[in-house]
Amino acid sequence: MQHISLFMKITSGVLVYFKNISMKKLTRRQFLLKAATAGGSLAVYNASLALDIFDSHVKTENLQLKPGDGKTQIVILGGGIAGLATAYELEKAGYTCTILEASHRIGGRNMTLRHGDLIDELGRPNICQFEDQPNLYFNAGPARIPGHHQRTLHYCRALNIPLQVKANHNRLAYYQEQSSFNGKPKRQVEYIADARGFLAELVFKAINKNVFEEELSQEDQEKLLHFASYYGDLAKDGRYKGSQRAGAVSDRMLSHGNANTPEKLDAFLKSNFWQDALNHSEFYDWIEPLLEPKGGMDQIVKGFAKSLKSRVITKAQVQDIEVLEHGVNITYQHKEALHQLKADYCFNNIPAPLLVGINNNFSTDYMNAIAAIKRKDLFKIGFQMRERFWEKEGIYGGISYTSQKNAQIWYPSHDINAKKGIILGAYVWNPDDCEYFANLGLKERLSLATECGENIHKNYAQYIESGVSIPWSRMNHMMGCGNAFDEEDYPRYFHKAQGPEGHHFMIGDQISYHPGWQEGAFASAEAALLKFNALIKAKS
Amino acid sequence: MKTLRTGFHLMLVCLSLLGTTHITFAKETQHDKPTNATGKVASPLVVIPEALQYCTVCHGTQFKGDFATGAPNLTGLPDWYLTKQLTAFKNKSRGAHANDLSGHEMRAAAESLDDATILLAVDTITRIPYIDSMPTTHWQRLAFKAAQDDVKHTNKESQTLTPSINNGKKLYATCAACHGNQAEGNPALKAPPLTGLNRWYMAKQLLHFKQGIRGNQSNDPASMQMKAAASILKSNQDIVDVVTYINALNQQELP
Repeated sequence: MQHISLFMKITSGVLVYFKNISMKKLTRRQFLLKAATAGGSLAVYNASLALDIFDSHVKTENLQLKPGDGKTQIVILGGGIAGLATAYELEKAGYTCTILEASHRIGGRNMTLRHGDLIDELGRPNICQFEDQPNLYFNAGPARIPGHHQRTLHYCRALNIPLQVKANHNRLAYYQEQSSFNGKPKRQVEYIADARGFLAELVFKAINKNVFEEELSQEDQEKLLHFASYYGDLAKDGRYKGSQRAGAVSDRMLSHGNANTPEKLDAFLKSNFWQDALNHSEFYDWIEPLLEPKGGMDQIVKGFAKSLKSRVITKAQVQDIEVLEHGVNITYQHKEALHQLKADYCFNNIPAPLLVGINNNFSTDYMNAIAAIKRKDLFKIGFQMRERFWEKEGIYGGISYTSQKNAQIWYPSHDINAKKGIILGAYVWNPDDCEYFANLGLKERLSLATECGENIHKNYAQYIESGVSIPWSRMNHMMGCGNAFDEEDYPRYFHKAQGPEGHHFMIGDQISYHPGWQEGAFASAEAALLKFNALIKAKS
Repeated sequence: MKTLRTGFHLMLVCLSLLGTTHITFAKETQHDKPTNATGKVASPLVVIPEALQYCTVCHGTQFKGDFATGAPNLTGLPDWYLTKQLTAFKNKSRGAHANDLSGHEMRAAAESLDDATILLAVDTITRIPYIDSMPTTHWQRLAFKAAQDDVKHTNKESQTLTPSINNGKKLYATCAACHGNQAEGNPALKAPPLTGLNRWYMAKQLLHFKQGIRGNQSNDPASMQMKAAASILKSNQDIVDVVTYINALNQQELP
């Protein structure tokens, strides 16, 4: 330990020097050369860490890790997505890994529930009662992958996991709000047509009142007029009178379909949908088309498991993490006995709020940074339906939104026309509502979500055969979902939590800017591995 | 606290002699940094029975507490108090109030425990030597922000108050009637020892008593009495002062 602190002192001195010279705007290469001259390769590593200037041109598919010598031992704490990816990459480079996982299964929040699966909720462990059919599964954690999550998609390619398109935004799905339009569900497409129509009509009026006289030339104003007419499907007089884009009141095949009468603008403005959920598909992570593995999101976990040769010890609860000068010493309990594991490097995927309670010898700064990561909650319900009634309503995949506590209903994009299906009956983000659901008994949760569903689909209750509920804040060994830094803690602690401390690296979506996404977990693993690579190169 | 700790060691030795303890694992390497943000390392570790491994997910290694999950340090608490609280959670006389968020979680956990498991839990926890966990610097923020979040997600930023030990001592005179001059507790009055409790936890519980989140069940008169007593604390400042005083007793910084 004395050595470490002495080492820290020396390197921090060197760092001050580097921070000063970096003021002179050296190029990265010049800077690192100077660092190397002044303090050797370890100093370069430490300087790179402090200034966060690791090269980011390296792609996940080609990390180019320094080949292992067959002797270097790695311990990975937590078999979640980041832990599995770390093991996969290190194994590929020739290192020996051991994964210690506290729960009965690997995968972390990548959890697909099927017949007979244990839902290990704190105090309420229960078994999934879905029928034993290959299409009856529920993605309780991550459930969609946008096309730009190239790390996630890389692993799907590398692990030979077939993907399919998953509808996320579905204009034929409903929006239902208790306090608007008598609580009646409306097709989202009707809102969209009205929202565009109203907005376009206002633009049309404004142009005719010469509001944009100063900003736009006459010619550009005419173009904008044209855009507004087309965007909102306005009549020739610039009025919005409803649009066939939202369907028609009569059959459109054998007669001229008449458009729905639009809502009154003031009633429309009172509704919340157009301000909120209507725009969800605009978010970069939810842009269409999204993807999902065929047969459930946990095909990714299964793919890793199949490929890995590392020792995976489940039900191994870490008790103590001791960072040594050249490694780590882990104490864990497995089957009512304590074990010790010494390794050269440690990658730690344990949820930060749980890590705070585990014995360790982290520096106060590092610990404070880890402790700044707060618990976050999400809540999901899955229902097995005896019939795919939604398909008869023209809904194939996508999401209905509601102002009720269940918030969302998701329809499966896979196995269309099968007899039965699993739908998501609640996806709750609001912390109060998450807490409300979590605090109910298992049956009461399902009843509440059923009542909510009744206001959206006729006879919803009678289709339900069984259900599961997943309060992420109460799932054993996780007790939360993603991360939640207080706003003021991001600048103070985030970089520090990304570590490492000595040979101990934090990983997981919790130390990414993308909590709750597998891409965040993969990115964290990639970043930690690049730092590891720099360290091991510097030490050799 | 010294006597308490020695007591536990003694008990541990006795139990070992009787052969009833689980085998403990002697760590070869001693930590040279015994106190850091998460507290002292308990060594040797007591093996936790498998039925209780749920508990240490939130309560941390050796039940030393984890402020990030909101689970307090349980080491050093007497068996009668642990039994009373576990039973209270199980019977919904604690953790049932709508605003007691972490209480809800503990209640869910306790409801699943049968009497034998409660006995096992109490036996296991009392076999663990007291762990002086976590002298966190922002305990006030943890206590008050958590309590505010419980009430209304108000998120009102609480400022750090400067504690007055003298005011704390004055206030504690009332508490001492039940909890004892050295906060050693009094089983006859169902008043637990307060030395060794985390400051953030004590402050949060005092707020909960003041707000009626705790101590609102007629079948738990001791707890109702505590609710009444907590009304002498007129402000967050009073809470900070009395908690600081009690904590100082623990640190043996006071005569």
